[in-house]
Amino acid sequence: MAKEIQVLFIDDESDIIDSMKRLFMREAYGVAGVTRIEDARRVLSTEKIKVVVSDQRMPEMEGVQFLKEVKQQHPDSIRILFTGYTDITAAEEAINLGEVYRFLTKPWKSSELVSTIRQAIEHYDLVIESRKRKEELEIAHKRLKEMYEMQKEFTSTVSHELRTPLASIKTAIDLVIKRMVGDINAEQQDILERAKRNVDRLKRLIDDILDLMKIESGRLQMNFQSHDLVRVVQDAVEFHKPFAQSRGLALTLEPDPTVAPFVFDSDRITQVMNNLLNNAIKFTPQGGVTVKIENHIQGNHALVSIKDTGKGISEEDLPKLFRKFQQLESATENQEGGTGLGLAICKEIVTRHAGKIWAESRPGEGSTFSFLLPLEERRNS
Amino acid sequence: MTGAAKNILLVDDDTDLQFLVKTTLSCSGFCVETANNGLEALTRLSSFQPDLIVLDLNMPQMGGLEFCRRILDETGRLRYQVLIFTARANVENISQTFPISGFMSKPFEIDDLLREVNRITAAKA
Repeated sequence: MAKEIQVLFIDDESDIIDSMKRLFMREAYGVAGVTRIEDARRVLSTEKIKVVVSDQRMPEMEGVQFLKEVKQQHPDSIRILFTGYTDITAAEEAINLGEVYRFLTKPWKSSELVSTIRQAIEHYDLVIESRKRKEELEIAHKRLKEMYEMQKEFTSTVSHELRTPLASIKTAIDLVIKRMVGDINAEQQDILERAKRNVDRLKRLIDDILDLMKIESGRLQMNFQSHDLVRVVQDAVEFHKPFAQSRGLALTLEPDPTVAPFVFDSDRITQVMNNLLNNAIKFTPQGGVTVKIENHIQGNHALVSIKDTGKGISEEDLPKLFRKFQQLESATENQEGGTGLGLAICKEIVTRHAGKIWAESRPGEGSTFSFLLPLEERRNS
Repeated sequence: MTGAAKNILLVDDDTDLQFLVKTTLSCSGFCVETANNGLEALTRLSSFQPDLIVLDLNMPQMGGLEFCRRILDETGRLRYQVLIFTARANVENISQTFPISGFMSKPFEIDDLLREVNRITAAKA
C-alpha cells in the first residue's frame, strides 16, 4: 500500500535525492524527491505535503527563494533549507524572516536528518491540531453565546406571557372572594378559595423557575453590601411570627450579638430565610421553630440554623432536598403545595456567597436546616 | 378618603385585566379612566387630569417607556405620578431611568395594589 506522501525533497543532485528516498524508506510516511522546481510545484499541488526540504544551491532558483514561494502557496508547510556550511548566513537570514523553519547541513548525519524530519511533521500536526481546536472552541463559544441570548429572551418572554393571563385570573378570583363585587355564599367561597390557592401556587412556581434560571445562568445580579446579619434574620423571623402563631407554633430567635456587619446580599439572604422558615413552619404540626445565629470567627463564618420539631426527614430523603422539583412524598401531602424549587434556589444563593447549606434530621426528631456565610470576602460575584 | 375622589388613568392593552383593575379601583372609591396604549393615554390626558397613571409597559403602538418619555418635563421629571404595572421580569431598575412613583408586578395582590395607589395619591394631596 502506498504511504501518504508528507515530505518533499528537492535537490538538483539526483544522487542526494536517491539516498534520501532510501533513508526514509522505512518511515511511516511517504517521501517524494525531485530535482526540478517544476516537479516540486506539481508535487506540492497534488500531495498533502507537510515538510519541504530544499537544497540551497540549485541552478534554476535559490532554495531560500523557492521556500519563500512555498510559504506563499502553502503557509502551513514546514520549510527546511538543506545547505552546506558556506550558505549558513543565507539560511539564518531566511529563518529570521520566517521563510524557513530551520536548516540542515550537508554533509548530514542520517539519524539526525530523520529525527529532524519527524519533529517537523510533529510540529506541523500540532499546529494544525491546535488551530482546529481553536476553531472548535470559537464555534462552541459562539453557540453558547447564542444560547445564552436565547435563554434570556425566552425567560423574559415566558415570564411576561405566563404572568399576564395569570394576573387576570387571580384578580378576578380575588375580587369575588373579597366580596368587592357583591356577596357570595360559603360554598362559592370554598370553591374560589381552592382556585385561588392553585393560582397562587402557579404564580410562585413561575417566579421560582425564573429565579432559578436567572441564578443558574449566572445572570442574577448579586447586591453585595455590608449588612447586619442578626437584623436581617430577625426581620425574617418577625415576618413569620403571625404564620407560626396561626399554627399554634412558637417561633424563637437566639441571636449572637457579636456577629459584626459583613458583606452579603440582604435581599437574597432574606429570600433564603423566608424559604427555610416557611418550610419549617409548614411541616411542623406542633411544638416550635428555633432560629439560631452563631458567630464562628475562627472558622471565618456566621452560622444560621433553623430547627423545627416536625416529623423529620429520612436518611434517604436528605440528599434529595436541595435538588430541583424534588418534593418529598411527605411534603406533597401538605396543602400549601410548594414549588419544589425553594431549596434549590436557597442552595444557589448560598453558593453564590461562597457559603454552604445543608440539613440534618432524624425521623421523629425534627429537622435542622443550616447555612453558613463567610465573614471575609472570598466569593466571586 | 376625604374630599373628591382621586382620578386614575389606567393604561393597559389587556382588556380583561383592564376591566378587572378598573373594577377593583372603582370599588375602592377611585374615579378611573382607561386607555389601551400610550398613544391613547396621551390623547386622554388633554381632557383628563389624573392624580395617578397606572401604566403597563408592553403595549402596541406606544409602550409604557415611550409614554414616560413623552410626559417628561423640561427638568426631567414626570408631569404625572406614575405607577408601573407590568408582568415583565427584570425591570425593577426602571426607577433609575424614570422618576416613577411606584412599581407593581403582575400578578398582584389587590391589597398591595390599593396600598400603593393610596400611598401615591395621598402623598400628592
